[in-house]
Amino acid sequence: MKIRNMVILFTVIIVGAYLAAITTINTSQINQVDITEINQVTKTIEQDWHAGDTKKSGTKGELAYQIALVTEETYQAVLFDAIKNHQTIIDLTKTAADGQQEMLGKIIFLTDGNEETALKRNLIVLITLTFGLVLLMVYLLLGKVHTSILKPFGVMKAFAKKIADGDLEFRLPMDRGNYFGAFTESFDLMREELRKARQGEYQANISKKELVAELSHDIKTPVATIKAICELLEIKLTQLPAGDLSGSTATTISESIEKITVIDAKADIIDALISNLFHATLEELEMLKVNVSEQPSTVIVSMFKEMDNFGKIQFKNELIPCLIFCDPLRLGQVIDNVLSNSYKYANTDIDIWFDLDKTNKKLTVTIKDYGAGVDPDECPLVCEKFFRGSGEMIQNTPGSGLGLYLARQFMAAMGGSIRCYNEEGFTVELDIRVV
Amino acid sequence: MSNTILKAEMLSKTYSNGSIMQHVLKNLNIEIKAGDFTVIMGSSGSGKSTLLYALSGMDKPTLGTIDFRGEVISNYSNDQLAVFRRKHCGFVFQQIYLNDTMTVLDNIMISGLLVSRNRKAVAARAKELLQQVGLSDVSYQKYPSQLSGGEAQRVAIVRALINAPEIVFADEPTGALNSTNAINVLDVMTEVNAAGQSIIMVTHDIKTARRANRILYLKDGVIIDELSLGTYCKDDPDRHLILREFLERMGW
Amino acid sequence: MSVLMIATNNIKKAKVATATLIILIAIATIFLYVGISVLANIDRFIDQKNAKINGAHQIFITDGVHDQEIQEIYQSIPSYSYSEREEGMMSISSSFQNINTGEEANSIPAVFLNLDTERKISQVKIIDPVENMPKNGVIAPYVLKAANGYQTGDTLKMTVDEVSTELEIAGFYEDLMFASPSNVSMYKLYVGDQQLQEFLAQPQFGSKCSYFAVMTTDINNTEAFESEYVKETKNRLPEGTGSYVSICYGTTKTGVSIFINIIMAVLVSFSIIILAIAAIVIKFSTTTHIENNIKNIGTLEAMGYTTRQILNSILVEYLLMTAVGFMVGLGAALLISPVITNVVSSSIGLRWATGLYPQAVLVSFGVIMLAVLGISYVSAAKIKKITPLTALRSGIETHHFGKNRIPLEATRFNLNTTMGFKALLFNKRQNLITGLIIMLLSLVTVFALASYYNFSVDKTAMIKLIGLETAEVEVNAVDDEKTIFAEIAAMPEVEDTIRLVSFDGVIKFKDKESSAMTRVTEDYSRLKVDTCVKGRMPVYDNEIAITSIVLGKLGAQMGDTVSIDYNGINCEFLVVGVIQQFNALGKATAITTAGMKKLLPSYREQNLMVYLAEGQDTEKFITKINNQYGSEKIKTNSYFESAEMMLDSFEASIKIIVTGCLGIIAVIIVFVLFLVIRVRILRERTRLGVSKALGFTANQLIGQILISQMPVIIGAAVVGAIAGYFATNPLLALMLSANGILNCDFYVNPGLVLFTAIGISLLGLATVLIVAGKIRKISPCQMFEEGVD
Repeated sequence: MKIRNMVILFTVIIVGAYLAAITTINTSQINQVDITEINQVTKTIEQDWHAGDTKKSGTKGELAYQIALVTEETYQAVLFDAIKNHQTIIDLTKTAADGQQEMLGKIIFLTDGNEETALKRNLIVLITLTFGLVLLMVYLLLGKVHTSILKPFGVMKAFAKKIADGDLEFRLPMDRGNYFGAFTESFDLMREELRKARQGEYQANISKKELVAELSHDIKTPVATIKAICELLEIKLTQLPAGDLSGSTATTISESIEKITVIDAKADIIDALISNLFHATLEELEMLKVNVSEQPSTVIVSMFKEMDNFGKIQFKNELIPCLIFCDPLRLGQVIDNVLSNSYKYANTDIDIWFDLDKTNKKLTVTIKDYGAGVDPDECPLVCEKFFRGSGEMIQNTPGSGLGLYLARQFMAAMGGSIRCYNEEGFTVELDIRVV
Repeated sequence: MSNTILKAEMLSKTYSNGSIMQHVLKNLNIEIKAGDFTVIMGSSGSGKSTLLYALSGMDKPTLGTIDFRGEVISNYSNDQLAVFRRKHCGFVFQQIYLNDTMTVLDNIMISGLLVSRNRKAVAARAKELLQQVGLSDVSYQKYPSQLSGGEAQRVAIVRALINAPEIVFADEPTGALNSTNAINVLDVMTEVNAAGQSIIMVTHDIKTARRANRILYLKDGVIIDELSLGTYCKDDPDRHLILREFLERMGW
Repeated sequence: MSVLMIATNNIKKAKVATATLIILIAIATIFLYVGISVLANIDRFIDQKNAKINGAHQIFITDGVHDQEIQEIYQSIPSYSYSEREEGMMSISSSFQNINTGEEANSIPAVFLNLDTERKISQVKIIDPVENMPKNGVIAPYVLKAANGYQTGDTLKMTVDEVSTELEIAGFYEDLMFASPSNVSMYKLYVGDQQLQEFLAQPQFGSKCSYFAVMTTDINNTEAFESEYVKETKNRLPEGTGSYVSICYGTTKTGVSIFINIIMAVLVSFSIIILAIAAIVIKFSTTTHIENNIKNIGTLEAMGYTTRQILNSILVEYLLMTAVGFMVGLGAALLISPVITNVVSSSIGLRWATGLYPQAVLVSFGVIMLAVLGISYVSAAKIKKITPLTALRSGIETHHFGKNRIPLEATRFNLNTTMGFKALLFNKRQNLITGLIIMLLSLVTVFALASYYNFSVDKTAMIKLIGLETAEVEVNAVDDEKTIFAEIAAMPEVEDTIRLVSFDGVIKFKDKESSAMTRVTEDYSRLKVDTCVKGRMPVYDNEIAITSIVLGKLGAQMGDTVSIDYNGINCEFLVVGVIQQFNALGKATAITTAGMKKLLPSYREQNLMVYLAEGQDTEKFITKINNQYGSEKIKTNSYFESAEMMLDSFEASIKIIVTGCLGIIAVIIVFVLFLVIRVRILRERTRLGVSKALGFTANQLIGQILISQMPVIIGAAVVGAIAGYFATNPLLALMLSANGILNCDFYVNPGLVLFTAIGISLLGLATVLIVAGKIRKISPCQMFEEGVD
């Protein structure tokens, strides 16, 4: 990974340097003369000439020039000299009044040797830079090779020696960015595995012994049964007078007794199983099935709130939230029955108390109204099937006499109970089992 | 004189998935006293971890109250709970859960700096604790992946202790360790407890449970029994026997 | 097929990533398909349109004095086929205003032709015809409907100097030659016979003209036909004969499609940017996928899957996504075709119909498929190196041995800040990718906003590209120009005047030649619009500056000597500068008056550009001048307004494109950040859970994510915006290089850059906050549990 990145980096640097060098060489045009500049200078000279300034040499801008006129004797010689020196030559013309152009001579632009020296200097800089770069990269590479390959090898050697000496606790130091990272880790894993294997061997021995101990303990129980039967047999056999019966009969009797005992025991088991099965079936046959589940006690509060159609219900204390055993549907019916009785017969405010008995795991809900209550004589009967009070008002109110009966049935099925009594009015206490 | 620090009353936790409700904890009443080394045991799915997380304020109970030194934390907001945890609770997990991207020291510091702003003091305390649990100077700047499981778990214990919490909660701290490392870690925890630190630990392992002075056995979300080992001396062989007997009775 | 099963399972697991990719691919498809389909078909479309109406290959409009000679000239050119001549009315200084759309009056010359004349060439097929042709009914070019929202029945008010009349639009026609005023600044309008006669009877509306429509034998060589004609006319007709317009098919076609080509090129490059983003997303999600599922991969391998099969499952996954994304994109492209139709139609002035082009579908599908599959193969290829054992051990390379860059012991920052920075450093690869995407988008945003600003709000830079002077009025004096021009320059309304003449010249270099609009003025430094991009403008009589298009055509360079042919006189010029302009299709040169005098010693500067002072009304000034001198002595017309008109037609298209781009950029930013942060929260669920357990509040954790994410977002937005500030002009020049533009000078408002950086940062902040808000809802225990998606 690292090496690949480095190769890419080096390639990019080298290619970049190469391209830079090529562009530098290409753009440094040796003999390219700035034509625009020359044209400008020429035009200025011509204007000056026209204005009467007939200077034969001078400097305009950065360009030094010399003028050779056709009329001069040395015209040809000067011209050829200039050509020999790679100098720039351009016509010097004059526009006559009629628009015709007339050639006066040549303007020769003098070049110095500076360009070549500059070129040489540039080349030297370029080559120095390139070689320096290459050298730097070689050093970098060598350094990298040293730190990431040679050094880890040394560490590995020491490690291998330790392992050979049996020192499996010696950890192989790992460091980040190590080209050998994974390799090193594999070695360390190898060491770890070796150590584990040695430990595993030791532990396997121990657990074998433990298994034998446990099994022997478990086998004790059936053995005990066998022992008990053996004892009984022994007692029976010892109780029989030895001389009463013939030897073969005595043996038969003792065997029979033994078998009867076994059969009796097995019959007991079967009996228990069948009664279990019987009970299970019986419960399922019950019509109004109560599905007891664990519910948060807060459901009770919401039940009361749902049924508080006349705004008469008042909670006298806080319900401590806990889990109760109930069937929310049935418990709801119980509360509904109790409340509708109160609405029908008393029609007063209804106060609710909650009382959590932690030790007996019981939540008592007390529902109390302030009506006339029931006839004290009839009080024990209110929860009986089809019982209705004898009072005139009660007889005139429609009702089936099943409400409190069902409430009792449901409460019982939920593992709780219901109690009704008179106290300032009619009071119902529901005991609900807490988980 | 009982010095109760954490008290749970009628604690229930219910997970509901649509209409199906699952009661994991049912009306639990627990009191934790200062200096207790409480172990919660029970078969898998009995609600051990849920109880631990509910007690520690990581999770809110569905019903019931949790009282920490007279303050009811069970109806704290999530942020209040976070502040509660950082000040009063330390956590040690089975999977250790150290931050792989940070050094050992930083892993501890992130917890310490939540409470204290004094970097130097926190660092000093972290180093001191690391020393105590038997980790050398060299390991401070290591990364968790460079440590063995036991070492990492000891770092986690230091992280749990950095803010001097009242209670350290440990969820099967030795569950992912080999026996040598496990004993190491347990020794550290026993030492910490001996120094007066309360610990609540969930475990499966009888050897781990033996270190406790109080064992709660949880079954189907209810504490069906508890055993106090406080009266037995640490090295008393009876201690192990009694524990064994207790667990057998529980159907372990 | 089990590979397919694994693939669909992967898709189901990574719903958000899948949705993001599908959307990205769909967007890329829309752009790529639209771009390719328009680019590929525009040429054929224009040819077909022209063939349908038997459109002219060459059009000349003259004053009718030399009809005989002109006919002889073009008939003598070998590629001549047949021609038609009709009479019409030419109105040079007309301006038009649609009363119903409430637009401002446009000053644009117009030629009126007789609708009732039978013609073989450029037949009129009326779109949206009115039921009963009213007497003042006019058939307008289609571009007015597409770009300016003209409707049949609208009232078009025509004003020529002081007189005005109202015409009723009775339908639209399509004709490439007069398709768009951006190309040929002239309306061709058809009126009924009676109306035309009425117009001709009122000379104040315009003068009678001859309209020649010529067919040649080779439609692809109309430029040659035209230059031959221009050359012949110069030789045979006296200077200044009343030729108004000469338009050839080839030039017009190029001109018409330039702008739409630019737009489509922008679309294609935008789609490539989106593909690049999709590639980054793929790379990123593949890597996370492999990291997250390394155990599953190990299990699969242990079960006996080859790495090849697992790799294939990933490829199939992306294949499915690409297919779906492509179909969605194609559907969307067809769905938004009315918009595209409008963009294309308003820029080319012809009724474009978007359809399903099988080749374009195939090409765009190929490009997208190749890009997606290529990148997913490359990024998933590392699966090949994973052996089941390493995979099950969660990979050996996941070890992280870093230098602790910010030890908590030593840092002075607040704890949460430090934690954020730690995460920032740890997620550097992912941050790099997010940063790159945001940077790219930020750059594109600045580019789009700057383009919009320069096309629509402040058009100076665009005008510079067009290369027209900003003079409001152009005055042409027939005689006595010196006194008249001096008088005009002295008027109080006038800020400045420049004598600037243009003519069609022919430039030669070695054996190549090219026609070019040649501009002549005394001193180029006085011009308000500097079109020079390299070297300098001519100063001396033997100097010339040429556009890069002409230079390219001639194969010449700066420093070479070219020659100009004028009425048989040939003169050499030294190229001292390179200029650029859109106008005249980028074929232009500039010489000095002294240079012109070498070509034509009797040359007179008879054309004056008048720059009015701030707040002066152009129309009033024109009227004033006309009244003062009379139309016999001078011809006046408003000059710069036509350039503005041409820009208006681009504006609608630019608006749609920029709005679309910005919307899409916002969507991409939100999606990418959504993906990145969601994945991060999922991946670091355990760490976050432990942190919560340790007592970090949700707000602190969100803060940490913010601190680890925002520097990247803000940094990338700022860097991208600044890069946009510097890159907008080079990018634009690159895009317009086909039109000879080397150098752009669009004004990029620093406020715009700031706005982009802040806007993108805020968008990022909002997205991060919303996505990271998820942390709030998770309780520490839930965070440990696996498989919460």
